[in-house]
Amino acid sequence: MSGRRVALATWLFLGPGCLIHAAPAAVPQPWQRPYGGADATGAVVLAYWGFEPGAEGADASGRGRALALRGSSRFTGGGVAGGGALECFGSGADRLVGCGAMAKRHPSLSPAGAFTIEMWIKPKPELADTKSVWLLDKKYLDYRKEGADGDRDYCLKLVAASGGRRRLVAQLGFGKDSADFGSGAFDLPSGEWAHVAFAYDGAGVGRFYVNGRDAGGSSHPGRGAVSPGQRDLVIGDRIGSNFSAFPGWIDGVRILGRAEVFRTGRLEIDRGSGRWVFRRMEQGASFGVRVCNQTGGALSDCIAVLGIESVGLRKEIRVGQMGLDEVRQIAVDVDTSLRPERYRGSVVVTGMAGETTHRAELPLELVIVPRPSPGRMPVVMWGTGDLPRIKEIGFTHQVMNLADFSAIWDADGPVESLSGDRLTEAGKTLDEHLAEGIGVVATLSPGHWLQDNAELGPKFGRVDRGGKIGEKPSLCASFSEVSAFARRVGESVARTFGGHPALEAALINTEVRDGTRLCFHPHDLEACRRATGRDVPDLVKDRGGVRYATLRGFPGDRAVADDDPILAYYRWFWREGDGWNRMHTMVHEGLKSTGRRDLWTFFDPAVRVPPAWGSGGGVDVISQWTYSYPDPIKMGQACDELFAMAKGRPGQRVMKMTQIIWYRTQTAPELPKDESKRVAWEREIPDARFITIAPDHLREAFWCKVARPVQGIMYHGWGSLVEAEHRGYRFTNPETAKVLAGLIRDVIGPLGPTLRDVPDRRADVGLLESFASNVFAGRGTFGWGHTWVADAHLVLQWAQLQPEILYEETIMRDGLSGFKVLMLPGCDVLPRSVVAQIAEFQRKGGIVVGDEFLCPAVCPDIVLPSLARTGAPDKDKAELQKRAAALRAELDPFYRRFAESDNPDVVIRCRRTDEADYVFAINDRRGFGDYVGQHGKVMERGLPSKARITVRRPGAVLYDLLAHRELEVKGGSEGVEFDAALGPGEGRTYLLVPRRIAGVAIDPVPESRRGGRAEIRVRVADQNNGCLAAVVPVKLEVRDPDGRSAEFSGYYGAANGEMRVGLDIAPNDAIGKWSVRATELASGRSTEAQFEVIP
Amino acid sequence: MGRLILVVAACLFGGAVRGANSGGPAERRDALLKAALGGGVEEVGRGLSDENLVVRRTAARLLAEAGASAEGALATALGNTDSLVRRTALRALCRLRPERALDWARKGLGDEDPAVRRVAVDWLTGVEPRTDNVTALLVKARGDGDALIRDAASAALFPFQRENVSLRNRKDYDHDVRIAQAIPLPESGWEFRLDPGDEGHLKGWFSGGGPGWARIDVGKTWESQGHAYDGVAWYRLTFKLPSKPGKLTAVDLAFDGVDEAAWVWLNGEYIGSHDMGKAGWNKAFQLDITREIRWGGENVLVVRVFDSAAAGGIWRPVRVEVLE
Repeated sequence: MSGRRVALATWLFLGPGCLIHAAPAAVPQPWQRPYGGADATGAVVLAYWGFEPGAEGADASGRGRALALRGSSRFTGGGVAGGGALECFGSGADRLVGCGAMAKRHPSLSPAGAFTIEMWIKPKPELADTKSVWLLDKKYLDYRKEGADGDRDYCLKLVAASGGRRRLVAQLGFGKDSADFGSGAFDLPSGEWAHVAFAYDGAGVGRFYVNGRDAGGSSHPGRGAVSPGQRDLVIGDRIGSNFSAFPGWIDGVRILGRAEVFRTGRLEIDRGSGRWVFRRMEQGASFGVRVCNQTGGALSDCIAVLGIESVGLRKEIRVGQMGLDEVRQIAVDVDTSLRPERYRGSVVVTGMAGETTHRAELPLELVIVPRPSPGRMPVVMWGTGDLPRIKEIGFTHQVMNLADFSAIWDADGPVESLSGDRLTEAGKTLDEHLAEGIGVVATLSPGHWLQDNAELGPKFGRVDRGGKIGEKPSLCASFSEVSAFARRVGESVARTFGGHPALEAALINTEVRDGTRLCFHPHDLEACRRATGRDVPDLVKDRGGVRYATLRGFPGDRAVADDDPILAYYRWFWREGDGWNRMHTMVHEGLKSTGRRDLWTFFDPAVRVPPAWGSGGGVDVISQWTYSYPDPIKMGQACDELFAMAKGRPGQRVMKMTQIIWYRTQTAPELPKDESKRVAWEREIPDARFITIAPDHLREAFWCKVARPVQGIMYHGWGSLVEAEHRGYRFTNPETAKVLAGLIRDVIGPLGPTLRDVPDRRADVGLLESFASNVFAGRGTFGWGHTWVADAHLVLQWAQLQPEILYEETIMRDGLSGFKVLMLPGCDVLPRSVVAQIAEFQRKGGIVVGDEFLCPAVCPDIVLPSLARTGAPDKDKAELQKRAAALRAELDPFYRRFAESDNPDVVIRCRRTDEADYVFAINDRRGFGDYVGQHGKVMERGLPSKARITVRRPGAVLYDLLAHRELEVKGGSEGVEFDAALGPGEGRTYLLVPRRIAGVAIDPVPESRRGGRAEIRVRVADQNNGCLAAVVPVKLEVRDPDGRSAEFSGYYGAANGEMRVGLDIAPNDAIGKWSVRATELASGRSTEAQFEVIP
Repeated sequence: MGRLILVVAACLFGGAVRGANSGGPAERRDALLKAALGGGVEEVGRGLSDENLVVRRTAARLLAEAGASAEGALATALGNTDSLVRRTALRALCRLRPERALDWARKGLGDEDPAVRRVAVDWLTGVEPRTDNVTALLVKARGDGDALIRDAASAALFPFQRENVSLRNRKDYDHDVRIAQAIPLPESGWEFRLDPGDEGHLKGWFSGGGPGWARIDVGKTWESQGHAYDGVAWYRLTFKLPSKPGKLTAVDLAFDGVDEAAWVWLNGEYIGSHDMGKAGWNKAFQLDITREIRWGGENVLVVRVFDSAAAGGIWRPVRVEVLE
């Protein structure tokens, strides 16, 4: 087919994708009726089964490939043209008996080059219950299998696609391997005949047709003819074992010895791969319509007419001549200044074949969506769910694959990151997300792809000192080719999808550093020499470090020189030596290469490494996933590790993920033998390996995250959150999704912009996670929160302290100024400069809390003995809280908390900006419930708590930001006290400001014209009539004269009590009086104003 | 100096006092810090008798920093009721007077508090060259009830060290682990050799071969097989394995019980140990051998066993376990 692009400018447009062929003058096509003559018996026909009554199993081509029925299948009437058909019955659960009809093997059924398989199919309703059924099989082994049995001939399957649609998949065997060819998704209504065909050109290109329409295809360059096999040919099922028959009727099966082109006989129009959803005020937006001449002859005087009645648009576009099979792309500019809504219209194309007029019409629906509120806090589904439920729960983003790494690897420079049908599908999916207001996170793991690639993985794998590749794949990310590839991936995705506003973020090389290993390529050795000034020390054997106990002459006080060769090597290895961080940076920079500054990149899990800066490289955001058991407040510990990591790269932001899934083995391992003792989910899914997080844990974990200045939150485990197709993740608790939806609705929605804007309160309690102790003593958490180092953080939380996790690098760079208490858990070995800083800190009055492992060079003021968990969560928590109480008692004479509760189960955390403090209270009181608690591994049931909260801030006015009201406090010279009653796992957010909120005001909004701009300024005033020196949550509602909500209505954080919102009044916005209502969500005060929009 | 000793004596014999400065513990501590800045060792020394332990420890630390002028106070502080004060004093004294450190370390090893004993063993492990006296104290420390002390002493005395964590015990592995296949090693066909001089590891017995080995079975104690003996002995087994399984994530050598401690070599490579002191006699343990195992070939397993008393030996079965 030939293709030409016709660029036309109009001021708007768009449309959905279904292909409509207005029917006049369709030219009959050969495939539309039973074949006869040469079409049935010509030399090119290898076999043709028409199932005609009386000759049902006969080969109508005359080649003698007669069919014999198998199993329950039968020949019936009711064929596509009123003749006979082959009826098949689905295999259902019984996959041991095959059906369909079989033709004996024959060499002529293995085409020597190009070939086509076509047939008519009419599915039964039970097709909907199948994932994959066989339409025709001469291959048997639908996977790569060397030897005489495998990788030969062909098969054609019908597989399930999203939305109840179907795809065709052909697999061809080429002797040494096999290759899949796939169609795009299409509708296949049950009870209706459809013509399906697969045409292979004998040179690697396969195309599919459904009812004469091109349904996409695949290309495998370098392939030739299929390798001939020795198997029989089966229609309607697999040849043998693990049967999966097509449930329905089959007619007119023909195998041709050439690649046939099928046509509809009409002028066709569709929207191709163009967009139909746009974000308001988007620049350079355009829509594409694809017109294809499938009439079977040339057309003249082709004209496309676009019309959208609601905006008075009618645009005529002269297309001119169109040759046979010619395709034209018509580009139409879109005016995105229009009011956000759906604009319905049509495009009609006509063309003349002599006196005959061909006509096609495509109903169109342009969608212009409002821009998201600027401060919206991302709530990311780290995975992929169905859009309606993703939106219903409140997620703002989900993950999507947007790159064909193989194609990008093969290219010399940036290329389209997807092509063909995958590109089209991806474009549609991005549009769907944009229409629903859901951002897409592209998952880009070129490192995984290379590592797992059978050919490239070993070539670029890590090697040991002897140059030997390890058994387990582990990519050496330091190869220059790997870096270049990483950048190319980013550039290719940016070039292909960077212009689509639905693409908002990218996840880069997730979970790669767990498997990193030392590497001894010449380039690694040279890089080490360059960075450290030395060769790799001989004692360095693996990534786990070198234990000090094995080192003769190691300093007795375990204060190691800062430039100790082993320490220096590992510091280099983890920061840059293993190459991953640079590789992340390359992908990140590639993604930014087209200027999309708003697109944010992230890496996770970023702290599955020793405590050394640099993890994630140059990405915008680092994140980490955490399982909430046994103690959900460990979520805060993991969060604080991320902030410690981000300190190494100023400007890098932190988000935090909670695992929706729980490991069964960690939470409810033993299925009770006595069935009566099983709880509901154990009865229903006894073999579940991953179950749903308990709702109270999710709630508490949520509060632990938002109590910290995270810029977004994430969740993984769609299959455990809702009833959905699962891959091991099982849905065992329906309450969890409700809790999450409620938290997003009630907390993230109204308070998200504020929470993103309020920094942490400056910490005066530090907790050092020592890199040297990781290297020389194997300490650390690796982001898992399993070890004493992590539990020490929990102890501090329960002791009503708010620790900042420090890395040695932080202390070396910033010192310990401002800190009053320093906890040193598992700090067996410390660099000398850190020891010196600690000594100086103590000389200035700082209190050091150590454990029994502490580096002897440091004399602690308080000893907090470590705890080895027993696995009994109640006892472990009690022991840790006992230590917290003891620590609190020892610290009390020397350290005064800014805020605390009198109940250790109510954990307090504070953030601060300007004159405002934000105090979070989190209820950690829990017991064993009847979800998993009966197994004694996790206390999953939250219990209500009460606490008296003290904030040492005299004279403060207190607001409950969830209840939107002022609370009474008991004041004193030292501060304020108030009582809190919290439900299971519940959290609260309080705002303390020096002066009471007096009111909220909207400045007068000047009269605005259509197409003009109106600025709204809202001020939250205090008693002194100044703006409140705080970030105040504000709800803004802007409505047009018809009561419709306008763009930028939503929630804001008014910094310094003030916010400005610029409204772009659309050319088609309503004229008249618009209303603006602003409600500050601290005291609940609101005000309203009006302004006029004129023509 | 005399006044300082008097103050310390007051602490020792007269019980804790609030200290010379009035006010709360924070104020008293601040006063000590200020005094230390002015070189007031005497005033700082009075802090050793403070009723508040943090204040007392601050005093000990400041004295340790003061150096030789505080030696007397530090020596006396070795008898302080607070173990952290004793710990600080012991460490400071060992540093100040290395020539007398052996005596202090010996005394420290007898302290009731492991924190103090740890300081002693830490100092001992760092002494170069290592004298017989130092070695003797380390040997004693190897039998300490505290694991950290025991491990530190063992590490100093035994030249083979390797941290070996089975995949099933790795906290950083985000997958369930299951035993896909268990291959029992034979109970008979093992070889055995006593090592009363504890020198086999120095003579390379772990590399296999060599004369002087007798037959023995595992799954039962060596006493039950005629060896009335406590001390170090060696086991050796040559065994063949089938070809490598198609799917495996890791391979463990699993011991159901060795009385009481074991050090393991496979094909000449040191694998790791199981040493929990006496408490380890009936504890199962696993060592990762993924890298060292030879599939489809011959393997030589050598186990050094130490038994301090009563029955000893590899008295329960041994297996190769394939993990997925």
